[in-house]
Amino acid sequence: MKLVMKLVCVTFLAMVVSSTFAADKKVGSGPNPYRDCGIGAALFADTAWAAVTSNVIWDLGITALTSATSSPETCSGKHIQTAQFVIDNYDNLIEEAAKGQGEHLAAVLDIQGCDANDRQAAINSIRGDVANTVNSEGYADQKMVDRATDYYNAIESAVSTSCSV
Amino acid sequence: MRFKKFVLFLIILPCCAISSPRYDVSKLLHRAAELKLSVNPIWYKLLSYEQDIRGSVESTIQQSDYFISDEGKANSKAELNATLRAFFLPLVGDVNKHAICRFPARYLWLKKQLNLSEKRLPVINCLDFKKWTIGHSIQSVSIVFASGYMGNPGSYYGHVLLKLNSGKSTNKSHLLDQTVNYGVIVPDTDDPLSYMVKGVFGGYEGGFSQISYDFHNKNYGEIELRDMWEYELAFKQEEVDFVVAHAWEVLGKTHTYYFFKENCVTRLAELLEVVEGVDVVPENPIFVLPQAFIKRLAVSHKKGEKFIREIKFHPSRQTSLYEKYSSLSSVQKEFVHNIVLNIEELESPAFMSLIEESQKVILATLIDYFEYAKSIDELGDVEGKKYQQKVLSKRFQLTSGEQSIEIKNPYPPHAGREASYMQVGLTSNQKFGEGVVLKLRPTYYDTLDAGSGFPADSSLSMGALSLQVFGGEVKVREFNVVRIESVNSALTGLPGDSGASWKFSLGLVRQNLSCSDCLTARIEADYGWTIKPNSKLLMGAYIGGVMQGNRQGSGNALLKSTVFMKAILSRKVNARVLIELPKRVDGLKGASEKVLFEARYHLGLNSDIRFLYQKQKVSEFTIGLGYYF
Repeated sequence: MKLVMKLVCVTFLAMVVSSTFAADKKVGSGPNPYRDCGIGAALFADTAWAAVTSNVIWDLGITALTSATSSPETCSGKHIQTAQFVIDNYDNLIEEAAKGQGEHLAAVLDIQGCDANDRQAAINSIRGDVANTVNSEGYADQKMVDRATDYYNAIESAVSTSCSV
Repeated sequence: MRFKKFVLFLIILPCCAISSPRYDVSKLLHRAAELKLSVNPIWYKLLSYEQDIRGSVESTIQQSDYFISDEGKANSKAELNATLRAFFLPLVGDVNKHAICRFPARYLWLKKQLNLSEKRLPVINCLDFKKWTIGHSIQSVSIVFASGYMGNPGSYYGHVLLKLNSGKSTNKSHLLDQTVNYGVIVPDTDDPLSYMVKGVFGGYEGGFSQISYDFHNKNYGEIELRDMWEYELAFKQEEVDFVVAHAWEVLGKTHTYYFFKENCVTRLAELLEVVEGVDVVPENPIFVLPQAFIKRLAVSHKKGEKFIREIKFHPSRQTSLYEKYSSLSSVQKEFVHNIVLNIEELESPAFMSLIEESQKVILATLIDYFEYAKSIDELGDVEGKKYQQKVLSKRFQLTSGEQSIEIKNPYPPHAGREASYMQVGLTSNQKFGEGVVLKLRPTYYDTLDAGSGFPADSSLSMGALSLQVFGGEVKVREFNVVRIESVNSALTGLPGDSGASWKFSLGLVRQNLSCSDCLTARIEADYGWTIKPNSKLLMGAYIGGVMQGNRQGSGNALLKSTVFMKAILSRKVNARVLIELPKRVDGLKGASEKVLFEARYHLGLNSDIRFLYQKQKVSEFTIGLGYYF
């Protein structure tokens, strides 16, 4: 009986400790999808004059990406899709964050599976985080991949705190 | 004992009910032959077979893996038989490589034609196809038309692509919808001239590719500043499934690309025409244009119902900027100009004292402007980013939300006129007397009849021919290989939207109106500026040069300056005036000044009357009746 009680207590304590550490871990501080999952650049990098035109997107239809990390969760499905969407549509997303509304914001929350009832709270959260980024000293000189990373982290944070997915 | 027999019966019965007998493939082949399925028009469309005058078929698809039979590319029966056999092969290895998963449209069609029961068919779960169709959630398809683009010869006439709509069933943004695009595959190393020549004469392959719609939204709307119209088609669900299945089959497959005849229009129309009763390839033996395709969709019916269910307009960033700017008060416009010239004006007491709604509309216009300026490389990289940061920062300080302006385009492409133009006119020449003028312009528009999907105030024509008949003698007045004029109407007057325009033409022209045997090969290029003081008036000036054949001592080179004005006089009448002043660089004879006045009366959608006065050494009046076809 004493042994059983000890086991129960140890198990309980282990659960409490692990959940405490999990809560302390900041969302978005995990693997960076742009660095770790093979998304290096937006689709609209500089190209030859006729390469990316209205008619020619031959090489750009392949969307399968392989994970480069040992953290499959961060490089899977909606995270990859979110990260790629953010870097490809950054200008529209930043504009819509400033306005607090827009179809690109709606699309990225669709990818994340954020429920319609939670959208406004998520958008407010994204807006707050992204505003701090835009107001920061080095924003104008920031590389696109870094801007996209900040925006991606804002989305992940907003979804984890505001959305039931 | 009876009970034991009953129990045995209960055990056997479910087993018999579950495992329905599979089809005898040889009987299916026999049935398919009886029904002549291998020569059915839909089977031909699924395999892209083209028939020659002897009745032989050959598929235009270049990849051998599109055919299951080794003879499949040129033998429709062999391919059909091989397809049927392949459907019943056991699954080995990757499920996505099974014939049912590779060719779901063939599967759907043969299942229907042969009246096959699902219970007796192999159960194959096509994972890749299911993922691509977002769990088979595509509930409609749309044709998206992107307006013409002067930045790329391949895009002068616009472009069409197929959008697979799943938003209504998945409740997700249309930006995430899948699209299928047919386009020419151009190596990075090809120069513009090679691009044009190869594109026209079949030097390239064209292929089907897929990408999510947000790509096109950005590429067309933000980078190339092209408006888009989305035409949702009124297909039933099983027809949608069939078209989508066939689109899956042809992904990654190529045909020889011909700019005029076997282009994005032809291949997309073929995707739709696998549905019985759909006939949407424009009927033109020489060329098929995206706008002609849209017009044909708009008038088509399927079993008595309109083929187009809904039309949506997606304005470009430039159109959005113009619309927002036009809706500003004069005070608000002044703020926009002042802030663009000096970004610190955002912090001025005058701006800060505006009510929030007024600040919002000014900032919305500025955001559109800076995105537009970025697309045309107007602002320097550092300066542009700094300005954009300040505008965004200011917007973040205001509350969320703003009034959306629904932007409607009054000139949608499906409501426009036909592409080709012919004119018969009576002319009176100061030297030659009275005669007849005949004009034929295969494509596309000039500065007086541009609209409906074309860049406003611009012109684009290829292969235009003009003949004159004086005293029973027919002579060529002019033959234009290509004539392009790209006008930026400078609606806002902001930096970058300041009216920079250009012209180019190549062809045979008369040296002046006083000679009939003086056709000269000529190439011209001009660069200039236009302003649009209001929506009805356009004015501008060009400076340019001419290289021409040295005919009768006229010299090879000219410089010229041109001033012009175009006005909308009423709902049905517009006109233009042009004065061209040449300066001879070489040669013995003087170059002739040119004065032109032309007025167009819009008689009907596909007809007009034009009055033309010209003076180049001698004067000439022409009145002509025109017809678009």
